[in-house]
Amino acid sequence: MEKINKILLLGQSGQIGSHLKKKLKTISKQVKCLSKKELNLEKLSSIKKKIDRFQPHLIINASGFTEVDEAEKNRKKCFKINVSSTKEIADWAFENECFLVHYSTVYIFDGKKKNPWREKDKANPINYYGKCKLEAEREIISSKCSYLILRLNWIYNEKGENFPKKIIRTIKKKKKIFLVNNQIGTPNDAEFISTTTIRILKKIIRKKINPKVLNLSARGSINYFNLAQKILEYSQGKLRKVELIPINSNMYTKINTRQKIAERPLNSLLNINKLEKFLNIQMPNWENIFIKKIPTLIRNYKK
Amino acid sequence: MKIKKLNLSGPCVIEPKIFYDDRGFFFESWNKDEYLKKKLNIKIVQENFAHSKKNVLRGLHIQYPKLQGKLISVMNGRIFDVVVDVRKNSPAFGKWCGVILDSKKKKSLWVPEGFGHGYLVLSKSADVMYKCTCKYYPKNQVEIIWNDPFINIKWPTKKPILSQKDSLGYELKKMKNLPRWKK
Ligand SMILES: NC(=O)c1ccc[n+]([C@@H]2O[C@H](COP(=O)([O-])OP(=O)(O)OC[C@H]3O[C@@H](n4cnc5c(N)ncnc54)[C@H](OP(=O)(O)O)[C@@H]3O)[C@@H](O)[C@H]2O)c1
Repeated sequence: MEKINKILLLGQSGQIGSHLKKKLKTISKQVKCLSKKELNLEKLSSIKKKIDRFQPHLIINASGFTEVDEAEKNRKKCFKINVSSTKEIADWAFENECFLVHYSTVYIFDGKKKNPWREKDKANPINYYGKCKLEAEREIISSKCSYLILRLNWIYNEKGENFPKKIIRTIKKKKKIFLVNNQIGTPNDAEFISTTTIRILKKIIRKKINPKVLNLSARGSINYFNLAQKILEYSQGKLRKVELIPINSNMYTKINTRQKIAERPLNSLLNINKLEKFLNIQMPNWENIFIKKIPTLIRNYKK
Repeated sequence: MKIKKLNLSGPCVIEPKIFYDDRGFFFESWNKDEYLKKKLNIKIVQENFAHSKKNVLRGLHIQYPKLQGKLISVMNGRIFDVVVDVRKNSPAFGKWCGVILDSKKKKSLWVPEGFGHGYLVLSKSADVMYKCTCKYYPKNQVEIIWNDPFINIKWPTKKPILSQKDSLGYELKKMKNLPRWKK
């Protein structure tokens, strides 16, 4: 990456974007955040014009259509926001020699592998969201711009909708909760993801070398059922006792007849050897971070 | 110069006549008229050179639209070279053929327009030179995934070194924009 003066952040209100917004100042004084109001990514023809006005040297795209089940129903919108807009951004980046950082997902894989996914494993998405995220990666690579794609798995945040919060909400409402026990992943805190992103960027700027695709995750693995157990355990009596019932994902889809549930990979673990080697540090275990966040996650649902 | 047909109609292997003497050797690496005599009407407009390490797999590639025929030769080392019929409606759609090319025998592989191409480096390193019938259009480069289960190429490796772009290649059956087969 050449020297960067101006950074443009997209998705500033999101789980990850909201943390990046605060932290990007440590890289440059000129950080511009465009909200959805200022730049709606569905308006494809306006994207390049809006970016043109600011002329960034680095774009961080933390925006996206991220509701996986909703994506099955609202395909057009998902494609527009996740693929077509990415193409516009990447093309602008190529034409203006701008560096693009983009978030992708382990959902580009089918989950049918024992070990954690590596950066160059064969992609084979099993839901529409994953298909779009894969297409977006391809668009970025074909645009020939300089880029860094960071692949993520299970993200949670104190703000916004995510899995631990869904569990907490259900615990408050129901006596019996069915939880999938055959899908594994690593719960990653959005703030941790953004701090690590900044670390990676600083290293890229300092070293003038950059990896193209990196898996970004903490260490460790858990399934949804065990995660719910942990939440109860860590809640120290702040949540009432409920019955957690483990079921497999096929059963879960069957009993949830009210809404169409997208298929999810059984294995959502990311191999982070490349990341740890690049940063020359060991990633923490997800649980060490989770323990610190759990009180706020619960508190936010007290009302 | 000998032409060896393959079990796919279209592609073929060209074996040159090499003249050795105490100075070294000599052979014609390209001769338009000689090729024409063997019914290979090839119009070359660009030539590329690639150096790769052992176990590097480049491919599978097609250029679409603006189809590209390729004449592949190895200057140094040894490769497993693969050609795949990817023409829509072709009776041989998805069929592949692999040949060994090396700098000893100096054979070339002819990859006609409408065929996908890729190779794996078997020697410590390899220098591959290939002539093209159409110039390079970066935006028209399309990758087909090297380990596509439908094509099922028997690569002599399980874990090749790939570019990021090649690792995200498409599965042939899921591709809409493909060259057409003409009778
Ligand atoms: N969440 C996960 O578990 C997860 C896992 C793997 C990868 N990722 C990837 O990581 C990235 C960020 O995820 P996240 O969880 O932080 O996402 P998020 O919380 O859902 O935030 C998405 C952001 O995109 C913005 N956005 C949505 N539609 C837009 C549009 N039409 N125009 C402009 N902006 C729009 C949203 O703005 P508003 O708030 O105004 O709607 C929001 O700022 C995404 O690329 C996602 O695919 C996420």
